[in-house]
Amino acid sequence: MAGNYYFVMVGHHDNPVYEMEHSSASRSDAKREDHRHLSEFIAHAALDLVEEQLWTTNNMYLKIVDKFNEWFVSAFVTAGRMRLVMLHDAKNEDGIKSFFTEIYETYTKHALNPFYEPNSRIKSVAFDRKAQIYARKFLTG
Amino acid sequence: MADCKQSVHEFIQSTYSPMVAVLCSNDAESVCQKNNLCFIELVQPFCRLTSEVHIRDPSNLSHAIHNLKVIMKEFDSLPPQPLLAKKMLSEVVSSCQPTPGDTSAVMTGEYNLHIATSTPWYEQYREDFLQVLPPAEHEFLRHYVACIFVVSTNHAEPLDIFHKLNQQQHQQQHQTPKKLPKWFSPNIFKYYVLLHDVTDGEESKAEAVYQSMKSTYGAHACHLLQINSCDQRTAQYSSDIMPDPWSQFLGRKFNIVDSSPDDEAPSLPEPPAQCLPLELTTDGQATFPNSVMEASLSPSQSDGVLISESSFVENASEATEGSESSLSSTNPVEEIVDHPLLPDNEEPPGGDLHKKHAPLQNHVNNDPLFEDPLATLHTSIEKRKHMPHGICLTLSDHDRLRIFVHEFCVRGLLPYVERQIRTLNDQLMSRKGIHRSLFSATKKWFGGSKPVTQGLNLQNTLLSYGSESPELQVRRLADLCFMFQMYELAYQSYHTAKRDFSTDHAWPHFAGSLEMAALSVFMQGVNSQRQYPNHYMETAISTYLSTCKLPEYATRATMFSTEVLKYTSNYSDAAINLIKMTSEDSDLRSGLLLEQAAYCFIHMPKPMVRKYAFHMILAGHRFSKVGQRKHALRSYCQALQVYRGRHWSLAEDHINFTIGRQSFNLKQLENATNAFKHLLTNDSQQTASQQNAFVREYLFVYKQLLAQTEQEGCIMLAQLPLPVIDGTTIKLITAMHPTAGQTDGDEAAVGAGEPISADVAVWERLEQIVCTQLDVDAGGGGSLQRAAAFRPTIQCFTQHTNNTHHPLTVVDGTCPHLHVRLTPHMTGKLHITGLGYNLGTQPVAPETASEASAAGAKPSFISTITVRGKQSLEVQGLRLNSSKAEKASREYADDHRLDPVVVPSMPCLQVSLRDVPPAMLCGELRRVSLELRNAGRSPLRHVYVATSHPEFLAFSNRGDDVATTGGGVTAMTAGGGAVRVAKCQHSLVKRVPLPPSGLPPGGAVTLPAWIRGLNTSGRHKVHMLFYYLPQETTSKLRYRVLRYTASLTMNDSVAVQATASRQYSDWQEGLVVSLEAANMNQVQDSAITEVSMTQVICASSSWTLHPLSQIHKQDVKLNPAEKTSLCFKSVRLPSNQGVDEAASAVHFSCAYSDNESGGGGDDDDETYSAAFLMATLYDGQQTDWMSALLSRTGHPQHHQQQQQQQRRQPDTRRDAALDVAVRVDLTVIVFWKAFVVNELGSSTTVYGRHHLQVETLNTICGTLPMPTPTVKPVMKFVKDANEQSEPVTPALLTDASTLEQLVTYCVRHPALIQHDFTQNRLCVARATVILHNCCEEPVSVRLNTSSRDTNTTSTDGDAAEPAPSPAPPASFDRFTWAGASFVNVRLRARQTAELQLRACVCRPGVFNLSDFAVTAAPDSGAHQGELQRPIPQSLVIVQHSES
Repeated sequence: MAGNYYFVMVGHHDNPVYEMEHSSASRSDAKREDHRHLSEFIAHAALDLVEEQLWTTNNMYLKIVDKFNEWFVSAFVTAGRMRLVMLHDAKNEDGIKSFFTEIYETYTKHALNPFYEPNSRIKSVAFDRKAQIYARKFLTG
Repeated sequence: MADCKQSVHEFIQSTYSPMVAVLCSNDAESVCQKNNLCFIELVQPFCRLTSEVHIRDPSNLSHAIHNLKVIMKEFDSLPPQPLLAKKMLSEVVSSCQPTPGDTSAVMTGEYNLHIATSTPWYEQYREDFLQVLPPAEHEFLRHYVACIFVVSTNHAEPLDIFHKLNQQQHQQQHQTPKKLPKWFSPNIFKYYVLLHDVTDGEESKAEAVYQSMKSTYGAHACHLLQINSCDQRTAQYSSDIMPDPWSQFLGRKFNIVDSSPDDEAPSLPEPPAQCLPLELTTDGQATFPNSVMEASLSPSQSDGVLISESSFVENASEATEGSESSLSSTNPVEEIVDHPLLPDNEEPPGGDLHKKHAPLQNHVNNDPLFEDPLATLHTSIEKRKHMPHGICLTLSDHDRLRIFVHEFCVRGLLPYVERQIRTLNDQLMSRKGIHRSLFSATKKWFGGSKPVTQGLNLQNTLLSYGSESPELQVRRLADLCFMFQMYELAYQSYHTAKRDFSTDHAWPHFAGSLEMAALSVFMQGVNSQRQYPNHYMETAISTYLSTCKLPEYATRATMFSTEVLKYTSNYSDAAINLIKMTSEDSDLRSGLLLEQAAYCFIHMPKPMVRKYAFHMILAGHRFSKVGQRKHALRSYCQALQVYRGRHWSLAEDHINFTIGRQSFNLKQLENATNAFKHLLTNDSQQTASQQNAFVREYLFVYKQLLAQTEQEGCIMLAQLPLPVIDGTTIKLITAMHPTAGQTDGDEAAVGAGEPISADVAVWERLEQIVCTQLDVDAGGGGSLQRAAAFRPTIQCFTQHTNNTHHPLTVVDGTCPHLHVRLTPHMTGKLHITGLGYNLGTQPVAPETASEASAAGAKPSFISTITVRGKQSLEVQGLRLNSSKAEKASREYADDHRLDPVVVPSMPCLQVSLRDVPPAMLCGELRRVSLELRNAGRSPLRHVYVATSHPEFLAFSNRGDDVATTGGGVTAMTAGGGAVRVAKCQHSLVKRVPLPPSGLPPGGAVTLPAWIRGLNTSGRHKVHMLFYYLPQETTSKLRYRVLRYTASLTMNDSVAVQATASRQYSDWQEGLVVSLEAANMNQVQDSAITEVSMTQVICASSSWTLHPLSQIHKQDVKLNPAEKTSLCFKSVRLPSNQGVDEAASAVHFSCAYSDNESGGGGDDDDETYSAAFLMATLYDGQQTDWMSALLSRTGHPQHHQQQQQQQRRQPDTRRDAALDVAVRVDLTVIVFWKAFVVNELGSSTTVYGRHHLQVETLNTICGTLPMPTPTVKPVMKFVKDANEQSEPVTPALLTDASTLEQLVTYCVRHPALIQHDFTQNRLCVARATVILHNCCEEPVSVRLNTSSRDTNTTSTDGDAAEPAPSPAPPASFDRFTWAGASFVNVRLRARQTAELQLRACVCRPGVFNLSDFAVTAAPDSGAHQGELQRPIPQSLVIVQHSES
């Protein structure tokens, strides 16, 4: 599903570990730039609802947990309580779920690296590339 | 929000209290003015009844009314005009700021927040908002229930005035079109008050008038109010002790019009950066969405309702003055509602009354023309505020006022209300059966033709309800009940009305009834048998909002609803309600509601901190848009608590930026600077242009701050955030950096003396060698202790060096190379704490700043801003990792890198090597000159130099002892004889031959020196450490060092390798030395080099070299890639000299000389040759040294070797004695010259030499490094327990190859024996075996004739047959040794012994007489002995000869 996406992985101290923006359409690039911090605000605010919804289901994928204006917020909580949060302006439940699952796996592998300190920002190029690939695969649709 | 001033019940009750209009005559007002109060103000503090009163409902049940409050208002008071109202609201909010300490701490999870405990600005806003809301058409709650007429006794005819006032009221109520104010019902309750001034008026007149009043209007509707018991003049004294109940009411009211001082604050000048997307000016609305909908779907905004713009005051908030008329002309309710927006409404109702007021106001402010009502109001208020209130009132007057209100309520109002309720109720009951059904039926009947769209329906129904229609009567009843706290009855009525309105599609009425029905239930509190119907409220809000387009009423409903929800702890619903009400039309309201929503989130059972923060941001954004800077700043600061330090960098940037901007606008420069400083972080995710903008903004604000603080007189350098200084990488360089003037053209090839070098280990080792060597030379025995205490001179202190000691530096010598050069002028301790500098922007011109032009930035219009600041330098020592505690925690060593100790002046050496070619051939010799200069201020005594390549540099000073050998070498070249020279300076450390006086300050000396190309080609770095001493050592610093690195390129020339092996032909101990020389130049190389060998010299303490062949008469020329080999014989010198002398003497012997080329150079050649020889002789030492160096750096292989060497330690002496057997110690020096034709075609002749150190027998040594097979130790994962316990037997220590070469032997016998086998069948051949002990140790030798070597025995008994294998021994005939098969001989050191052997041959043939085995062992008897290396065959021919 085409649309605009903002993905953030939130660590245990409510700190962003990895951020990515994905937009299938290039039309509103200039506008996006102004709204980048808004995405952070929305995603951060949605964490409260993620924590609320966490206890209502056995699934890691929490579907849409929050809404703000045109943005939907979907979330995924890993076994290690990393929170994957996705802002999107189009509904794409399956795609986002697949994306979350793949990112989770990639993250797990990345976290096995003894030189990666948990909860620190992921700066790996390989991780970034993978994330981009999955975004193209599942979010462009 | 958490603690409102009033409870929810109080709030609702006081909002919907009965309203009473007051019509006051002019004279009555002037009586009140004595107290600096108008009548309304006078009565206001007493408007709430303190006692409980009772009212009876239609069924005659008594209801208690607690704290009944009546709201008295002036008859002609109107809701303010929309713009005025808006301004009032905004001012009341901005004037109401939180008190500083009014926060409470909230801790949830990782968050620790400080949150305002109350939000008085919101309560103020809410109160005023409800007040400025004009009374609505669809409800009667804020309509006047009663009217009070006030006349004073001072008037001549009070009764006339009462009549006139009554008329005026009647006129106003029944005029068409109807104008404000609105009245509850056609016949309202009227109350007549006669105001009597006790001091001025006549008691009797008052009483008379009062009596006639009573007769006219009835006793229950009249009151005689006596005030001003106190004289105005006498009152001055007592005023201070009197309670002032008015101040709280008046003060607050007047605050409304206090214009906020911030309005005049200048906003930021045109933002310096052209690209500020985060800009927060009013047009920067793109930053945040204005509408907020979340978690619940927004009600559809476009359901076809055809309603034009609402008339609500706030709706005009964005409207400009010009659009006012158009707005009012489209007002749909203008026929009915006398809206203040109407232009023809300039004259308020009761205009004559207003005129009566006008002189009163003029009397106060003396300004007949007041265009700006606010301004005049303001000034008048200002004046009035500072005068005391109620000075003429005594306490009994207060009581009278209280009694007046009580009388009014209990005697007049309540009975009236009771009557009204009963009437309305009866009316409704009677109509209920017939009329309503009939009415609705007819309405339905005719209603069919009406347009069905809801919007039109709404308008029509609005019009269609007559003021006395039964539906409205129900509502009227309900409102009356509500106002007088009969909530159950109110609820029932509201409920009925709701149903009616719903069927009639009268949506505003419907919504209003719902809202009030819900509130009625709530107000019943615990007594209610009903659940609070929240859905009523929800429906009411959404109906107001979407169907009726009356957002102001929706807002009102929301305000009530949220209070109720919060009261019932339903915070999340409250938050949702609040958020729903935020819209584009009023930023102020949205901001306040969002803030309330934020507080709802934080007060939830599980606080939603992040939601709180986000909504605070949204609220702050709205506040900033509407100019509420303080509130905006406060909101953002609140939110920052949550976002700070959690790496949401963009969000944090936005917050900091806004805080910075708002702080700046509020003139809080320090806060602004701090906020902007936070923007300049290391890992900003902003674009380059944005960061650039941040920097500019920061500088701009900071500059202002500096200007301000300078005015205040305190000049303090603040910490600047830029540039980022990485404290750990700070280097302190105590060495003098070479200045530009000292380098000239030649030196370009040589690396100028770099003070910072990567090869720290090499330098340190070199320095240690120099120090230890000099200590030893000075006779300091305890060199080991010294070595342990040795601390290398560190010229460059970095994070890797040991900084626990204070660095020593010299006066005039320190030049920290960061960007700063410090020149200390006195001794002592220096603490470098920080840097002060100017930080500024460069005027960005597009051609210079590529980055800016790439970002498409226009050249800045702001000129350079420069601010002065500082940054302190912080260094951290090495992490400690030795003890367990240190490993567990993070502890760091002290770092005194920046605290050098300045010691007295020292000499300062500068060195330059001149005439060094950029490229040399390997082994090439060049004459250079070494210039030493003392740049220091004290004289310099000695200079020593240690280099990493000892063969590289040599000094040719005739004063040195090397010079004595000069002649010797010449003689050697000429005659080829043996020359002996004494060993010279035998160390790696060379003393630089200075003039005996040393170097005075500023003095320079140029010394001739020789350099020799290194053996391997490629680029090399040669480190030279110059160690020098001052004339007198006074300070802690005993010596100084200068590090000099020369980097050179070596080209291939000749590679030479040599092998020495034993000769067996003679019994004498001799060697065969074979020499191989190859021209390493390849044919394809650009430069053609033809090499010819000119001389071969042997230098050894025990050997001489002799040519074997005669080829030395010819030229040995080698073209590129050619190779040649030469053989020499070496003979041991007679060892008649003493051992000591032999060890310290070098014997030169010439083996080969090209006579034509002779010495091949000038005289100096000889001297340097000797010097170089010395250097080469210590190649051995050098390798030790290098291995030691490597082991220091932790090379595992060398470490292994060292361990082995250590294990051999116990028996060193004996080993050395045995090793002599294989040790050669012979240096072959090859002189060569090369004709080099370079690519340009010019040819040069180059002289050079190679040195080969032949150490042991049968090993190849060459100039090129041999690819040594690296022996990998067996990797062990478990510690070998046996390894340590195994006894070290001395036998194992010496190498096996050495052991089998302990003894050399040869066989002497006649070559041919004639024997007549017919005479004697047995021929006995005699052979003499000469055994020679080569080592310095007694050896026991065993000669074994029985055990023949394996080759021979394999062919036993098969001698006649030709052997198939090419093994030579097989071809020899068999013979038998006679005599003892074992002979044991003991040989002393270097002893030669002869043994006679007899071989019995029984037939003619060729026999190998070396067919025996010799075993030898060091004379300890402990072990068997090692089989010695077999000698070549020694053949004897036995011929049969007939005698």
